[in-house]
Amino acid sequence: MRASTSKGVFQAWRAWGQWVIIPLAIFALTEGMAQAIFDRVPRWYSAALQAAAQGHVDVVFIGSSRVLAAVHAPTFKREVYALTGLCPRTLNLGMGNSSDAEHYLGLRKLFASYPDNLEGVVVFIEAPAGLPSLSRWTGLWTDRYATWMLVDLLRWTDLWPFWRSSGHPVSDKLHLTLRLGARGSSTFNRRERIRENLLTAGVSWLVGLRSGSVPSTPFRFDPDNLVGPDLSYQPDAVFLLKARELALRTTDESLANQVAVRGWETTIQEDLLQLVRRHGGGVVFFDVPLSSVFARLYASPLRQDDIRLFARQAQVWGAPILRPRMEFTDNDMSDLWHLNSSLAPTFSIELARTWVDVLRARGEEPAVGPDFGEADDGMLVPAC
Amino acid sequence: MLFNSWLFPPFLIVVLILYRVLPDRYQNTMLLAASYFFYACWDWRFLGLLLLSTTCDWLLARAINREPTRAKARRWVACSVGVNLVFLGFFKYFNFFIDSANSLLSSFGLSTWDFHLRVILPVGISFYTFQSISYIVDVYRGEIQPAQNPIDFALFVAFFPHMVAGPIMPSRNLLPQFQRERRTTLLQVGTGLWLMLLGFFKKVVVGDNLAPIVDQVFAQTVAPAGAAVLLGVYAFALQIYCDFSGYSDIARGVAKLLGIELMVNFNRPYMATNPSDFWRRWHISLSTWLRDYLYVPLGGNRGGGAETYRNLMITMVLGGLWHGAAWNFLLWGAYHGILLVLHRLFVLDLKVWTGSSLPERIVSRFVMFNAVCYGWLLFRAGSFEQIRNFTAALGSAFHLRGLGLSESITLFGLAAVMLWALESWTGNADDPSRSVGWQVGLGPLICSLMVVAIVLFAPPVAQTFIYFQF
Repeated sequence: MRASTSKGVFQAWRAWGQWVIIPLAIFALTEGMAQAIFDRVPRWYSAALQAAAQGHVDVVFIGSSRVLAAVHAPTFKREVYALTGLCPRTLNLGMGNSSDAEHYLGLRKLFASYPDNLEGVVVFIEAPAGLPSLSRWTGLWTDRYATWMLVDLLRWTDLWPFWRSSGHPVSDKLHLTLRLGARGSSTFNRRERIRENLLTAGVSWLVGLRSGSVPSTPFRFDPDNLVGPDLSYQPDAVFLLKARELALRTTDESLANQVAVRGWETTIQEDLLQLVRRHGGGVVFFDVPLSSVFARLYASPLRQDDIRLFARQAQVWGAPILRPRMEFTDNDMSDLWHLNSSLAPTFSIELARTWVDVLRARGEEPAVGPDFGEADDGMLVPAC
Repeated sequence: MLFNSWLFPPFLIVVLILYRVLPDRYQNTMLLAASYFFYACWDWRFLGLLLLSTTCDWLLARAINREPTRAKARRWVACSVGVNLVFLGFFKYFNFFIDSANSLLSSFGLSTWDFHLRVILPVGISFYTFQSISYIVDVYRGEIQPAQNPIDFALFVAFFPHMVAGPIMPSRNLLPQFQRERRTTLLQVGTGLWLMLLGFFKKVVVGDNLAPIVDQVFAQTVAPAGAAVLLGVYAFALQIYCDFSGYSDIARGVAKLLGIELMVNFNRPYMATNPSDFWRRWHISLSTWLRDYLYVPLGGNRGGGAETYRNLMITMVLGGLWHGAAWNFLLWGAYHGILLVLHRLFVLDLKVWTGSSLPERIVSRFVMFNAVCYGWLLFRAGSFEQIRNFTAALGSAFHLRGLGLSESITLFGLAAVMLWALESWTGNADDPSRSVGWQVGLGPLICSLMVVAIVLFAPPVAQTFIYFQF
């Protein structure tokens, strides 16, 4: 009797218990691997947090993938050092599909986590043709095709204003809320990055196995490249052709639907400026290289007015607008969207020179924090 | 609302809870409200069209039933089918016919009509129109009594799991399920969850991740290498199968959770050994509909050789046109019609190939798979020029340069092997619990791996189902 009861319990346990134990084991294994590989090498603002933990940050570039492509942080830093003898620790946080709201929330997180190491930081904001993007908290907080990028930057208290914003459909809001709840899990939180790596680097690795040449996996932390390799970018002829077609289509649509860009006092940029100022820092707007296809967006009479009005607003804010004196042709932007990587150092040098000129005209020097490395002889020297 | 959108899980949970707590007599009303909400999430303006079509068919079916003679009843059938086809024709084919007429007129040097309507195709219109027609015809044939309760009938038309992309359910099968009390069994819950898991896996892990390969190949304006064309076509064959059968699996799974059984829509179609076998395995609900409501009324195979071939061609050409208002769909339908005619002529009538031995079956499968894949080239191509270029490329330049072919082939191979292994293991059964090893740990292991794959491989933004455009 007793034996048959034990047997029944065992069978029931085998029937139902396996549906608990095996899934838990699989999920634990996946989570462990995700944490070991992807949390060890954070990206974007998580990577910036890691960089900020290591020392004072003096300059931060924010904006779109154009900023990521055009600004070479080490070159910028070295050029400022060559001009002033001061070595600003520089982070490039430009990112494709990023939004002003995400940069505000990311900077807020940096300031909250390491206020001392960001004291006095200068934030360089992308302003193509001298006109930054205009966005408000009531509109889109994130690119609709990359809502997940917001997850790491949100606090629970941000959810209410996010739900009240009118830019996103309910499905986006629900997605973000659920993702926020699952933020503790790397499997869920880093799933887009894991997918991209598996489908590109992972498949290349498999191909390499077959051909006997296994490429190195891109899982390492690089403080000069906080967003990691852009695995979706394939500079082949087909990719470039599609990118150029998209550029033309997008700009045609934008040109047909241009509306005035006004009312800067209620924008996220205004909040961003105040946030940076509260921590003793400053804001600089800077022009980025544009192909003729995108430059035409800023040539219309409406946009020229907008640019003039913004210049006045920047004066009110006390924020300079840097216009590096460089000429680019469409050949320098193979996909019409981004400056070719070979030209990023040239642009970064010119940008550094323009910034130093503006500072000197005001009788200032770059504010640099106490970030020194130790030389062989034990002397403290700037880490440039 | 898409099955793979973030709105669907909470929607389904609310529906299931309400379904459990509500008394039987309110369940259909709640399901109808949920179905209309589901549809309105896409575009609420077309709810009016759906309501109009539903009301017409409900009233006309009752009128058919009241008529004492079949001749008089036939008038109402014609009226109902006419109304349905007018709606379908206007929204789906109006611009196609205008464009085609203009092309014809301009080729003769005549002046063309200068109007073009900006019409949005109401999602699911092809599916619910065919389903309504089946109801009217079944009532006329006396195979089913007209629904007394308009809510039962409206739910039959708009039942959210299958409304926008099928399966197209025969009224004699689905309507009675809404007219009786339902109890969801434990087996239905288990198989329903499995089908949903399988459907999501097919759609977001396999189908959506093959889409970039297909898009890249078919975006070529000049013909790529033969290997690239072959890869693009094979990848599309797998993509469209996973996308569409994935949708059907999810629809059937959700319906099972509500105690409703929807018909099997796919049965390992690429294992077909001949064209006739293929259409018994691919989009079974549409091929059944075409057989019952088009091929058989046309005369079927009753008239002998030539008439049968004609009926097959008409059925398949119209079946192709049902997919979309474009010449390549028509061509695709005609191509399958020709395959069916050739099969009937050489295999069934002349018996030149029996295909009964194992080697013959292997050869038949290989030939049939590639014949179907060529059909997918016609289906997916953006223009006649592309069809011509790609067909020419198939016979030339089989090198692996460009397009990241090695990576794409590896990805395609992984997807194909995963799917083949999964379907072989379960035998494509609704209830996989009889599969080898299911009871001793393989079931939970495979299901867990599928869930992890869905979490990790689902695209960042939900991709719409291919058949939504039809």
